[in-house]
Amino acid sequence: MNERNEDGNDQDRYLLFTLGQDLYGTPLMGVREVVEYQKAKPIPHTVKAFLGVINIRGEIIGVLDLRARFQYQLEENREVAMMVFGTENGTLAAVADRMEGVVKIPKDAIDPTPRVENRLPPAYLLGIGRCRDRLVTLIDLPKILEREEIGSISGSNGLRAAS
Amino acid sequence: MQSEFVQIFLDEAQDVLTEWERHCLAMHTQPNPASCDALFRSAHNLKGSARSVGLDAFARLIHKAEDLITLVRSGTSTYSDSINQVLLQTQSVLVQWRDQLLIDTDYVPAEALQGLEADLLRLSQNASGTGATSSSDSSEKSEAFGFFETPAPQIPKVKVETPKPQAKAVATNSHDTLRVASVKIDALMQLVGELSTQQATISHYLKNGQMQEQVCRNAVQIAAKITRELQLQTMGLRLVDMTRMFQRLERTARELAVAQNKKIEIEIEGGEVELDKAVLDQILDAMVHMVRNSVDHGIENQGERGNKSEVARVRFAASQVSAGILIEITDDGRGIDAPRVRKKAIELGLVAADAELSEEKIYDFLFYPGFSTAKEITEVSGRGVGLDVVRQTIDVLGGSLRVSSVLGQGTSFHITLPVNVSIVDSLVILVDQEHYVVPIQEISEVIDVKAHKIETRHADAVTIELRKKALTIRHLSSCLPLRTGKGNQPRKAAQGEAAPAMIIEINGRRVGFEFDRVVGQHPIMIRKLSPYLADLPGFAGSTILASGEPAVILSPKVFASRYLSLKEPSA
Repeated sequence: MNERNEDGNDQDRYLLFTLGQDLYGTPLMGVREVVEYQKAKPIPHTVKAFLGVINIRGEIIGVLDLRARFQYQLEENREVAMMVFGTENGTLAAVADRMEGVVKIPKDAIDPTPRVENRLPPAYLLGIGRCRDRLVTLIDLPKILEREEIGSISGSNGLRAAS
Repeated sequence: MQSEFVQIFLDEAQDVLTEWERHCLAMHTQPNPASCDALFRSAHNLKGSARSVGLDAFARLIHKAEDLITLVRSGTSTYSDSINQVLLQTQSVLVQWRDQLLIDTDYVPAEALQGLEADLLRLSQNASGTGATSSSDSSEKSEAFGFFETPAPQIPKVKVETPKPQAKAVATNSHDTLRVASVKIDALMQLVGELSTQQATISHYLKNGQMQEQVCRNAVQIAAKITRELQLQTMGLRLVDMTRMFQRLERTARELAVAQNKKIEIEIEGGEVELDKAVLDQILDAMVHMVRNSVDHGIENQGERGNKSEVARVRFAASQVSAGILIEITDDGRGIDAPRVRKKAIELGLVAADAELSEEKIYDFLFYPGFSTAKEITEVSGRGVGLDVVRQTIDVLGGSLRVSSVLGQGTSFHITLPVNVSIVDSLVILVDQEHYVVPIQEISEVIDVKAHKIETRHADAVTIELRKKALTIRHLSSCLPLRTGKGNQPRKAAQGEAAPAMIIEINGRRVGFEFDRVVGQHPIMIRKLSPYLADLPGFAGSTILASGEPAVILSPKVFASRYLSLKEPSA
């Protein structure tokens, strides 16, 4: 990947999405692809935010609902596109309320140490950017997903809990 | 910048280090100039490559070993057991070092190096200094190492680091590589080329709305044929031969024999037999354990072998059989004392005192969790994994394990494994309206619960009588609670509908799991489960059904073993 193509810096591009009323962005470079909504097949023994698995061209990929994960209200189940990320822990798809497209936010338009309240883990907050007169919370989503625990039980006592 | 070259080097190093080990083992069996030269070349080349990619510390250690080999090669020093041991230890350290380098290219095992480098140096100096080692300081040891005429100097105390679980994780992650003959790749390229031609034809007709044209239909058919061929050949890529595993087993056996003052001779047969790398990787630990078991418990201590040859024989053999691959580990040791095993089984309450048992049934008890007839658990075989884990590993892979033994003459373990675990014949079932896949080999039979009289009803299970034995049946949905909560209320089979249940048998004990419906029986291609889901109990993998829907592959044996280790439900 060439980081300095004619358009400027690819690292300045962000994929925007909304959760509730909040606008978020994650670096485009970290997004593997955006795919059409698919109904996920539920998997036993998993947390509530984990919708299940989908089949993307023969690859079986888990789906995490960011709204449920970060305590946003689940008003209606819109069938929105899914963002697919390759993390150190394998591939994971994420669902948000709405996809807002890709924008370029130059580094100088980002406040790296904002003092704001946020529902997402602060460790992966990249800063607050400004775009189309709105504030965008920029996060490193793949890094957040990498740490997600999907199983709702730990291996050994699972059956006792289940029976 | 360099990392790509380091990667190439590390791939190569793995092979060279295997060679290194092989030559050391050959030297151990029979010191000979050819093996010694080959060992030298391995070390020399590896050193050069390590330097060229900037791994100086790595090269430095090899250089010291090379010095020692040079002395042996030139005849200045005689090949002794302690030299052999140090060279093997160097190899062990290098192997682990290499594994760490995959993660961190700056890694240096400083602690392991210290002692090892000193030992290499000392042995080199011993040899080149005043000449031969004096025999007086080692008269005691030479008794123990009867393989060589040369007296063995004091065995250096380098900690033999057994591979840690960490190293195992490295071996199975994405850094893992496979060596493939280039002709196999060429054949794949050819097929992919043909496939894209057919695809272009299909796209063309699809665009023009002429899908029903004969040409297009032919193309679809040809594409299907090519895809099947591709699948077959791609799976062939994963086949590797057993040489490396046997070598590892040989080394395990020799090291243990030396540690226990036992004299052994190793025979290997069928190293060329090929097996899926995934199977091989999974079975390795179990095989190592069985070999340790054979040497530790099977082979007698010195002086206890009666009129048998003083040198015990251990044999590893692989061959192709109709069910897959047969691997045998045979020793001519003391054999299994069936009456003693039986007595122990009775003491443990595994079987009634008056039960009639075939020998094979008795040997089976050895694979029960917590069963050990060794008078005291030796440090060697008693570490963590027991034979029950061996059995479990083989079960999971869809293989089988049989033991034969003659008291006083030896024991054989016969392990049958499928060549390829990627495709297994499976039952597709429905539980709570979701599809699940269960490998047929896990199931001993499927019955209709409604065709049997229910003896007792429990809160979450029923007991029926099947062939004069009580059998407890639970609904599978209690093992598979869904987030939606659907799973907590097992569906009742409607009037006139069958209530199928699969019977799972473990060590002769049975448990049944009811489910909603059998959807079909198909060969299923196993895919790895997403790492996010890998820790969940009873999930063996995932697959994509003919409908395109993903499904989880269940291992009901895992569910069953949990229930069997719990108390029977109270009425």
